Amino acid sequence: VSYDPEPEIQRYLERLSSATYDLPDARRRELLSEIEQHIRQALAQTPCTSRDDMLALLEQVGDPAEIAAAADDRVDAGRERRAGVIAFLRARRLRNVSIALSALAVVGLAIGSVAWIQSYQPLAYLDVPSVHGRVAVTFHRGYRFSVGVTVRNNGRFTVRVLDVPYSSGAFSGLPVSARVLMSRTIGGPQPVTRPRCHVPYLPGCVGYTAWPSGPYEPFRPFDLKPGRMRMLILVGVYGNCADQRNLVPISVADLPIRYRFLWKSATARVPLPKEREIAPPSRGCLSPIALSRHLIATGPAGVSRVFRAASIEPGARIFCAGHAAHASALVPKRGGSVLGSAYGPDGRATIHLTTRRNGSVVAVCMTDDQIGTGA
Amino acid sequence: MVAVQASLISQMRRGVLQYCVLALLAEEEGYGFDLVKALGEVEGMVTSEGTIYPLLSRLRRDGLVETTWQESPSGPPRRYYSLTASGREALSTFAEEWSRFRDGVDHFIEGRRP
Repeated sequence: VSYDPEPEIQRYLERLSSATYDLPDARRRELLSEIEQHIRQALAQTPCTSRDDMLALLEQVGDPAEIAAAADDRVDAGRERRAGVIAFLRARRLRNVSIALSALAVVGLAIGSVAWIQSYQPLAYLDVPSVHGRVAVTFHRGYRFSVGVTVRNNGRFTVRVLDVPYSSGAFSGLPVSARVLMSRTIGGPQPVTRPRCHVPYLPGCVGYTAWPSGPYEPFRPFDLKPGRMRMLILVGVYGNCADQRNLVPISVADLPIRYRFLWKSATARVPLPKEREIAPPSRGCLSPIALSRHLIATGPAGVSRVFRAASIEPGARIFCAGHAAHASALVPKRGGSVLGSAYGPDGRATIHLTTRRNGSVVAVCMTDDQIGTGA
Repeated sequence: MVAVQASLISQMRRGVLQYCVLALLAEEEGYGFDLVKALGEVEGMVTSEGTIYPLLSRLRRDGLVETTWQESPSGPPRRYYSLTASGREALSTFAEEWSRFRDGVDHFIEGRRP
């Protein structure tokens, strides 16, 4: 049986590898390679036929610890050879330092990213000047108030606007019931100031600054890209007018807007450029449900609206709001018509209701402007 | 006494071994195995053959020798060592110093001889 020296060679190289653990990697690999080549050349010249021969050959090559000491520059300089963890770290100083720095950089970046994402709040109020300069939104008796903001994304990334949790803001604890509306378009036309605004408490006329795109729709979550804007309006009523103690003026300095960016959901308090005060009604109010459903939005040109048969019942009250007066009338039975008028110090408002045979109701609202001009 | 002697030889070897290697390479280039065998022919010059390789590596890092890879008639390519200009200069300087040093030592040793 011929002798296989390979196991002894590998054992020797493993011992040498262990003994030189504190050498820099490149020098260690080079030394191991040269010693191995030396052993194989020696074997080629004088083949070993037994383990004893092989051990003698390896003894001639030298004790791994002695070779490792010869490879250590510190020993050559007459100093003690380092050992242990410190020597290991020193031998791989550059690599370890670079690895450590890279790891620190990654951890730092991760922490910084998380902190930045947590603090990322790009939503801001678009400051639109008002020609009238009025900031008070008066809560008229029996009618809705509205207050809104044009939210703009001033950041670099898209955020998703989730909600306007008004009940957690200035309206907290007050008997206010409101709906959130939003403009139908994102970006595009800029909000403009109307030269005249007759009904300041209706959508589209907040702080006498209006959104030109016209119609609004119920709020639903939407993505707001960088540089884009959208108008959000809170339209509400006092929900419990019986409790007069709660009817106090409300100061609105900001609106809470809940948004999401990546994994983070937060509520930004988007400040209004001027604090707004919503005055409570002095003499009670009506059901918020009735108000929200049966108020006709009027403007300078007047409005007619058709209520579908199932959406309104005879006896319900429909309002026509003008800036000088607010008229109302009760919905008549099928086939009937009714006219309601109201006079104020500066003019009047008139509403005409007709209930068709199919149950639908046609409401025509005219304010003093239209009447005066014969519209 | 034997330990002291061994230490003395070890220290002397450490001082001169690298110049012996340079001297071997002064004539012609050589590869590690041949250098080790040539040094081993002189008694006391090499205790462990493997310790020559770290020395060769250090000489290369110091710029006293340079290496080239050459094909081997048997086995993998071999790393051949040859002297650089710095190596020749270092060898020449050492040879002069060594000659003076050896003569000085001989002067004292031979002068005390009975």
